[in-house]
Amino acid sequence: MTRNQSHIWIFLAPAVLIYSIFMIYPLLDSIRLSFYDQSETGDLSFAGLVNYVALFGDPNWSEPFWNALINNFKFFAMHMLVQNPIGLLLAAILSLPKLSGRGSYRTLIFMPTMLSVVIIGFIWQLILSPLWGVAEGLMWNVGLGDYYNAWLGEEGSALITLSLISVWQFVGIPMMLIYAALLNVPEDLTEAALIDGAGHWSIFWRIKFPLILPTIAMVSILTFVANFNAFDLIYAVKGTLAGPNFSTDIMGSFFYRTFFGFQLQLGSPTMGATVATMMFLVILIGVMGYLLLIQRRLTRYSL
Amino acid sequence: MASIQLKTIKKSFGPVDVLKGIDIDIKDGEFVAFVGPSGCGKSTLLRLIAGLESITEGDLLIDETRMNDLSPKERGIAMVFQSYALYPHMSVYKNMAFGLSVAKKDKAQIKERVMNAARILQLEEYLDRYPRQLSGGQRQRVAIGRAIVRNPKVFLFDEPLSNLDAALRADMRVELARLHGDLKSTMIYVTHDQIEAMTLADKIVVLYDGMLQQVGTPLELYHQPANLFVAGFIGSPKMNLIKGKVIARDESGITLDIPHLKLGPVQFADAQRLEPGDDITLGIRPNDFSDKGGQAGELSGSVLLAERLGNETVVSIKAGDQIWTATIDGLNPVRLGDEITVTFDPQSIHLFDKDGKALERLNLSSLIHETLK
Repeated sequence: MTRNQSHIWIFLAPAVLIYSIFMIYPLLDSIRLSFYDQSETGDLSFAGLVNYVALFGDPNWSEPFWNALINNFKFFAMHMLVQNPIGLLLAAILSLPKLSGRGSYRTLIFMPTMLSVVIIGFIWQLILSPLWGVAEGLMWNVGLGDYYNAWLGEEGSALITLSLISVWQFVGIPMMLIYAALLNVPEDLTEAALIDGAGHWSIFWRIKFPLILPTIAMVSILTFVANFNAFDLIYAVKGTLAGPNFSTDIMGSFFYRTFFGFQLQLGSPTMGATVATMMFLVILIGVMGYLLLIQRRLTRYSL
Repeated sequence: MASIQLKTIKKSFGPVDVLKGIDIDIKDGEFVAFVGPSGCGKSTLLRLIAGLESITEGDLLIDETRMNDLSPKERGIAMVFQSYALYPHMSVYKNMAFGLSVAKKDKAQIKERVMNAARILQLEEYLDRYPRQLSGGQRQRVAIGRAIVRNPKVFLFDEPLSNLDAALRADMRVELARLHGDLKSTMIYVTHDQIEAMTLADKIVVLYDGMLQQVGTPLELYHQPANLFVAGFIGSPKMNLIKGKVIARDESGITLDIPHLKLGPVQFADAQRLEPGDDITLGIRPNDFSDKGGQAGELSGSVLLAERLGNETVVSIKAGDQIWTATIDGLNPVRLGDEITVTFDPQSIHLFDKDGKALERLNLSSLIHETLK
């Protein structure tokens, strides 16, 4: 028995070591850091829950925090309501037996996902710019010019616009995952349903959809984790201030400002660690909730 | 209840002609088996009737109505797939009810019909289970139940038993026969297993290379195969098919030259088709040979292989450079290398002309004639 166990540890050691050094230790250390305070000379001293009290109690901290958290949920909601349904729709269209040019569509729709977020942000900023962007001209050409607005510059629409840019970039991922799941549904099943008298609509919703549900759930939780870790697009388009008036501020950009500081405020590693810990907790709660409440009830069917 | 007519049905996938003009007439309530080797087009033909593939040319009539352009659900058919194709996320009950619920039948009626089908198939205690919790035979019964509840005019079976083990297959064969007796619906059954076809079907359709080879009752196919392909395909062990020549033809019959075979003149109804010198193929079923002697036809050779099955022994006999198969008494002590003489009734032979078409046999026993009519 002893010999058995020792060789198990030897085989596990490299992965455990690397994972511990680069994942577990930094995570625990940043949680530890959130319980410290930094004096003006840079010395750290243990301060208990002071940072958390400040984050939730001091309006200077709590208002941007709640703003960022709520914005982040809006950002996530846009992805769930737009990205994943469109991904499902595209996957369903791609799996139509009579579609020609399937490969080209697949590649073209997936292409933006492979581009750098910074480039995507920059391109869309140029396209939508009211000064030199092509969006307004294009909209006038099709008679919709009256509806043009400087969407990225308006407090009410900036976050939605950024969400849609992100959706545009990443819609290929749910599409590919769901498309792969749809291909796995045996043709016999659809033919049996066809013979049973079902139309294409009910075949999709009553046969295929329940069978790909586990994949859709997985896509949703991946979207959740990615959205709550998002930062780069906001930074590329809006910079650290996540304007206008912090209306596009999400947890990632709020953390960045807190940790590294910006024009109006010095950076604080300890407060940054506190915000990072909160991000970790939000994602943890979300993923745990998914694992305990949703994934357990989903059955994967062997097809 | 429905009759089905196929009128010069053709099917091409791109440049490949899979079916090259098929004519079949299926009467109401008949059990018809499509047999043939893989790739002969039998499954494609079934899918054409089901409406899962489009018909390239020709007409499909069900109950005198042209069905070519109708969707599967408008054709009044039900199909049982080789893979069963049960919906894995639905219970047995829901699997069977799916077709009716899509058709928006009311709940009470659905329940009644599902329960009725479950009773016929002895599935009542499994209604709440999921397909993955069932054995192969039970899944097969659910697949059949799903067909029954819709009360279709025509049942289509696509190799329904080929995923089952041998014992279960024999049981299901009996159940299918019983089902056909109870429901009296028209059934079409695709199989590559000639035993299934012979035992179940009222009528067998033999397909090869996209063409119809023969349509007939099981005994007709066995005793009067229309051509070399059917002769070789139906019957196990396979019929001996040996090439030879016609030497003479007169009132006493045709005299043949078959190496190492002693055979007097033989008579066929359309013997006048043959002329002396014509190439022919002679066919004898292995079980028309006997080791008991006393028959006019004789074959001698050395034993190449003896497969003892208990009730009979299948021997391969090498005569010259021809190898014959014969079934002899199970207790015959013959060994490899032994010389053996087997005899046969000259009237039991089959004869095929140079194009492989069979000559019409005389003297089929009255019993067979009764069955053939």
